[in-house]
Amino acid sequence: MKKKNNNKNFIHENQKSFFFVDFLETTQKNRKLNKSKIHEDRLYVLFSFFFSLILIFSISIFSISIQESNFQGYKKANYNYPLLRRDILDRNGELMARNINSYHAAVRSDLIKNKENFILKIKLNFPEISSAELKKKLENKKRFYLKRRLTEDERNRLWSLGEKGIITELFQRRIYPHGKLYSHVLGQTDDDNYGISGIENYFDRELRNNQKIKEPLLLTLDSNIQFLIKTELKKAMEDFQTNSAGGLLMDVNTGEVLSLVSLPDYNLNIRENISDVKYMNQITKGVFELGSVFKTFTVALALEENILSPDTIINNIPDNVKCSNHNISDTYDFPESLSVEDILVRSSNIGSLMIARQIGKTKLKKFIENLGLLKVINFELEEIGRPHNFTWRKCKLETVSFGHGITTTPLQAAAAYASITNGGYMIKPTLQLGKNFNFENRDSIISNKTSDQINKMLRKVVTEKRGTASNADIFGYEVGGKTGTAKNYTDSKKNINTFISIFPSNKPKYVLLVILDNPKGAPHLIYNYKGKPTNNISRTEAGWNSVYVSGKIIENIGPILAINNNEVHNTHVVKKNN
Amino acid sequence: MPLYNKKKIIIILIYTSFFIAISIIKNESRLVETKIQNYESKIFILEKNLLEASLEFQYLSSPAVLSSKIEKNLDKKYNSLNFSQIYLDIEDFTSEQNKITSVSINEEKK
Repeated sequence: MKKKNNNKNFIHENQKSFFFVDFLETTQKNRKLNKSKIHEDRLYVLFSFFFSLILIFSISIFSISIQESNFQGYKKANYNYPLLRRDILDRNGELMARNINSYHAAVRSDLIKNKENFILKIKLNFPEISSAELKKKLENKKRFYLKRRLTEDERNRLWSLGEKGIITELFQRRIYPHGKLYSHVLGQTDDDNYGISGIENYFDRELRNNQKIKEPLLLTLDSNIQFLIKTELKKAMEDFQTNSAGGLLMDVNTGEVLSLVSLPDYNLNIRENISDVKYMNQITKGVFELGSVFKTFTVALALEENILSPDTIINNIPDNVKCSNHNISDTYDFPESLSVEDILVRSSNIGSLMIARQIGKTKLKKFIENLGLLKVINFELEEIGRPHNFTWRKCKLETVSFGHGITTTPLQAAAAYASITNGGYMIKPTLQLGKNFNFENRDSIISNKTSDQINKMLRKVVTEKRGTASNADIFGYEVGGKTGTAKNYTDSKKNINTFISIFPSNKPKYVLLVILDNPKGAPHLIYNYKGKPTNNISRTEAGWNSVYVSGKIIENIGPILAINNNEVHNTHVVKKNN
Repeated sequence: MPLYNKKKIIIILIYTSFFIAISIIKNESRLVETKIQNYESKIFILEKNLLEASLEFQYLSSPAVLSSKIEKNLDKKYNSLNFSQIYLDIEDFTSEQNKITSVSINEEKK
């Protein structure tokens, strides 16, 4: 049809003349042209088809290339389970606490086909799980926890059962490599990794800080010293059959606590329900009447106020003093006249009372308050004791002068000793390493001179023949200190024996407090009493237990603390060189 | 107008070469990604092993474990050093050692 129409067009209607056309050639050309047009159309169709295919593929390739691989994300989620809590390290970089991956085992009852067989398998592998309870749970619950906090071995045993219904859930648990060593300091975390006690609770927010997750929290404690003090205290608990014991070692200049031990202790890696009071932190939570250790404060104030000097003689000291309903006396018979120094060295209650009367109630009260002995101390633990409130009525001045009728925590007493012996600068005990100490703007509680005088007196408590702490005279460390034997205010038949020592006393660097709850006599022990081995001693005063233990501790930790002092240099190094 | 002009051919060639290049690059980058992923996994496993090993080391070298192992496995009784055994200066130590050596030499001569 098309061809016919085309032929007709050769002669136009209005054509008046004609010309010769090579009909055949033109027709062929036209035909070719038409044919090629058809080819071109097909080519365009094909081209556009392939082009759109390529375009689709290109777009899909591009979109795939800009997408992040799901595979990678899956692996990351499985392998890179982020830490939830920071590590805790001691001052030497020893690990104290770390989070590790662990597992809970859950059971899906609907996936257990042979329930009796399952119970039997569990009973064989985990005898501690009650079969009756397990049966009840399998019948009543769709999903329940079979065992929490699995060990690797327990997980493998569960795995080997080949039960489809057992599901292991990944979670993070806190591990304490030192076990019992820091039980009263570090505290514990719950299953959701929130701190519930001790350092874990106090620094909870910091320990869970994602931005610092790879930076460990550094503490002032020293694991080696902590272990040595704990070992000696543990031995002391056996030797003196005490109910509990505590030890604290602190830097007198910075307030850094190097060791804080409270016994009995418990393993932090095991969940236990502990309700016995003896498991409380004796050093920070325990509030005690510490007895004669308070005499140092009375004497220090008398010297600071220039009311008395160390050599001032107090005359006419009576055997006992009647004060209100109380009859105050000394444990031993002392001469009628004693110097201020002797009163401290021999630990005379009446002598301290007479010094306090010269000072006056207002000044002594203010001094005790300024030393921070009566308020709740600001320390990096949640377990902090509150000293008992009391009113300064009649007789309070007299009893407080020798440490009776006044309570405080051992931590506060040790901090007060540090402040008095370091030159008179107030310090704040701390467990956090690297705190910025402002040595220049420290508050003074007493003068340097008074501090020196007190240090010399405390040294004499250890070295003098009539001193109460001869068992702590360890060569090379110039130990000084004050004993305290007091009645337990909750049970007057029991004693609380304390010894607060400082060393080296010519320029104190450390304060060590040892407290024993109701120690008994230890006749089996051989004491090195004033240079002579002595045994069969059944006495229960602090000089025969707390002091003895302190001496043993200082002997052990001294080499680690590397104290360089004149006593050693003059008697040891010079002797060696000659 | 020629059916296959130069421009078209060049465009098609460029497009095809880009297309091939994209697929090659994509393939290579996928291989690199896989390698990175493998290394990441390896690093993670090594880090995990390191953490576990250091935890184990910290436990085994803790004072309590060391002292119990020493008590159990060694006959020697370890005591704390006395001050007479500590040298505060290396010169003190060498002079002391020299004295000991000279004494022992003299004894041998006798």
